[in-house]
Amino acid sequence: MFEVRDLRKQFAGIEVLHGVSFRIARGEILGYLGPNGSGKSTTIKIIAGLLDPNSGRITLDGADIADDPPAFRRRLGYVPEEPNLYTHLTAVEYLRLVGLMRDLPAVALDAHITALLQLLDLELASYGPLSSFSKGMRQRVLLAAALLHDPDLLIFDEPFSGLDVNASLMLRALLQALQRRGKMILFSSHQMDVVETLCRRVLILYRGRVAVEGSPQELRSARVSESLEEVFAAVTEQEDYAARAEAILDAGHR
Amino acid sequence: MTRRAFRALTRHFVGAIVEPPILSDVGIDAFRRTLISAASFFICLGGFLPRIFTKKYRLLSQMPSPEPYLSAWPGDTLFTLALPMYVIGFAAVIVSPMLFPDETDYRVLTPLPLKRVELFAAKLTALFIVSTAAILIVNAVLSVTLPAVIGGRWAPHPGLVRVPAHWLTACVASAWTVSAVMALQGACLLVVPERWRHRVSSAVQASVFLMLLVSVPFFVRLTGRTVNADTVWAAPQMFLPPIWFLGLERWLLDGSAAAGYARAAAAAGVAWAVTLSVIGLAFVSLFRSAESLAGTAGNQRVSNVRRRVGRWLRRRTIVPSPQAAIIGFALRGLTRSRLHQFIFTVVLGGGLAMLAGQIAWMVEGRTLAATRPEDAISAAIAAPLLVALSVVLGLRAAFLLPLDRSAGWLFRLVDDPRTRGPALNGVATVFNIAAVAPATAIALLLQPPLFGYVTVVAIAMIALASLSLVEIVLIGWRRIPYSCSYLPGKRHLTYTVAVLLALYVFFVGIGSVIVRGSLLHPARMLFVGGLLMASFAALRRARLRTLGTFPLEFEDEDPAAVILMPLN
Repeated sequence: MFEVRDLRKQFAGIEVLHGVSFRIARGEILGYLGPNGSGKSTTIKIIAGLLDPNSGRITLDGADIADDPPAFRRRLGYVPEEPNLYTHLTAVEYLRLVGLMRDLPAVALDAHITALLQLLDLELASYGPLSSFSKGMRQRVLLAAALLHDPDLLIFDEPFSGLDVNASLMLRALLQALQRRGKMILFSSHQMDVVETLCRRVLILYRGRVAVEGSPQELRSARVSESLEEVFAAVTEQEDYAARAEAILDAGHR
Repeated sequence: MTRRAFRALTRHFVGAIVEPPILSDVGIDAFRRTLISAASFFICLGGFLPRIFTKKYRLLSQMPSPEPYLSAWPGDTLFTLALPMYVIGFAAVIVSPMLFPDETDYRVLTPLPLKRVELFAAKLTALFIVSTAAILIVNAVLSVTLPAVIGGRWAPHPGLVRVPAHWLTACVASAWTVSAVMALQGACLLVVPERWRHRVSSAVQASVFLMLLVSVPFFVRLTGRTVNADTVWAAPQMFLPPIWFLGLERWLLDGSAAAGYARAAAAAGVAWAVTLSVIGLAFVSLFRSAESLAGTAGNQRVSNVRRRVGRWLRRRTIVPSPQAAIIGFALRGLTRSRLHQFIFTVVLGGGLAMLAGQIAWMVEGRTLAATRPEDAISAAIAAPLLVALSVVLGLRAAFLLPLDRSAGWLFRLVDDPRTRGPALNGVATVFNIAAVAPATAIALLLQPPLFGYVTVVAIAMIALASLSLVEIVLIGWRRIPYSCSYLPGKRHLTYTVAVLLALYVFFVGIGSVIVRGSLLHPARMLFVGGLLMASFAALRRARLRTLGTFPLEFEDEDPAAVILMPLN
């Protein structure tokens, strides 16, 4: 079980997370939703150890991750929102660097890298520099890097951005396969249809607070909405899109 | 495109030249401060440097004959012309990758409603603004005060003529230096095939910088010698650009009476014509084939041979561990990143320039064969130590600089006490090999004819000294190369210079005296060898004792920053 309790974070005195709490059970995908600036990426960066929280507790199987952050990170796989990689390396070099820094056995690592690159349709490009990769290709390299060490907890921050249709379908299937294998998955995305299909439970974050949490069905029936998209719009106070669109178009011409 | 838009685009290009994108916001602030300090330094230098010449020219004025004055004047004028040329040359080489529109410019700006010609015009305008500002700052005081004091009663021209002529020539010479650097990069664009362009351009940039640095001591020697109308157009100095502009100044002052100088002035004209033609051709070529800037997917095609070789090499990696991963990462950064290569070259070039200076001093007025044996022995011991020092400092400077700040999250994520030690040991391995290997090669080249079999002992001592130096440099080192943010100029320049000077004096000066002294007697050899071994062992043990204990460092620390105490 992965648990986040009362997580708070301030930037320059402005609170961006106001006591966020949630849980992810084994074999569960938690849809982590929210409009831009709601604090999703901040939460994810805190969990990945890239930011320090001001307060709150994060536990994995009952153990506070602050007690032994490296032990937690050994069990964590992370696909960040932006495909930031060392672009002077090739895909193979990058994955090998990640694998060796995670102290994975070299012989198995090579076989694993080759297999992953093949399965992710990157085999032909694997010796080209990452600087020549498209966003989708870089995203697939990050995916391979996150899966290399068979982590228990996976965080996907907008993993579909830049992926083509085939790669998106493959990623969906992959997420379901990971779920079947008992992995805990925190899945942040703006693609509501995908979230609705994949996630047993959904959490919508708004202005740094958990606005609603529950299964997609529960949320829909509670809000009497037909889709998760409508629930999202209602929760985040974005209802009259047509009027807003008109206002946007008029804004520059007054 | 409106004037306002053009100004905005030009401002953007100026910013790209003076604000390196690899730096964080705090880093850019620090870089701006460094630029302002450098500008102030050159303005102050213009007030300070002439004091050196004042006394000399006062004495020369008091001489009964004009001959001593007339023989000293051209050499010193050459020096005062070459100094701004060197300064501007170094600066131009540093920014040379930004001198022509690049892939980012093309990708970002082409979709905007502006014509290609406007993009190129804005780039040229930005270059003009930055280079003019740099030329004016460097020459503002320096090229006025220096010729003003190189006067006196034997001066053939009044100050009111001499000073403007010199200032004008110095500015023209500095501008030519910028154009020469641009022409070299332009030639790369014209001649080198697209897939090799980046690497060749990086190599040219690093080589030119290295050449400039190494040429400094030789040039200083040359300006000390007598330069006159008969010798100015003779080899080898006729190939040196400052000589051409000395000719130009004399031609401006004396017209057709300038004799040998007129030829040098003509060479300056030809040099301008050549560089401008190359730059023009490069811009036209780039303008016509601007699509090539967008990059190609061809980079992704890799031959089967390369793929097989890659696999073969990976299977045979001797130490497949975090240590090997960091060694590979560090070396790839150094061989593939233009900036890091350049930084390494700059520091290494500084060391090689000092070495060149020593050699120039040693053989001055003699042939190499007639060099005094004691000088040759000193140089043969000091040279490898100097190379080791400059390689270690060059590597340190390159490793400190981030390669891609946004990609650094990777090392934060995989930071683990189990792998931290081996990873930091990987950094130490790179330093050790880089310090010992070139020093040994230089020693093997220079020492056998002088020391015979004792060379083995000398090399062992130099290797031990180099390894100890690495241990000193790595005290408190907690960084994966290229992964930590960087604050340029965070310490006062005087402090940095003092540390470098102390390192040079201690490691090269005192070190070479100790090694040389120890080679004279077996007992001393054993004593010094044992001492070096013990110091290396102690330093290494001290480093290994805390290796990997503390978390890796990802944010550079500003020693002057206010420490916020978490009291709430």
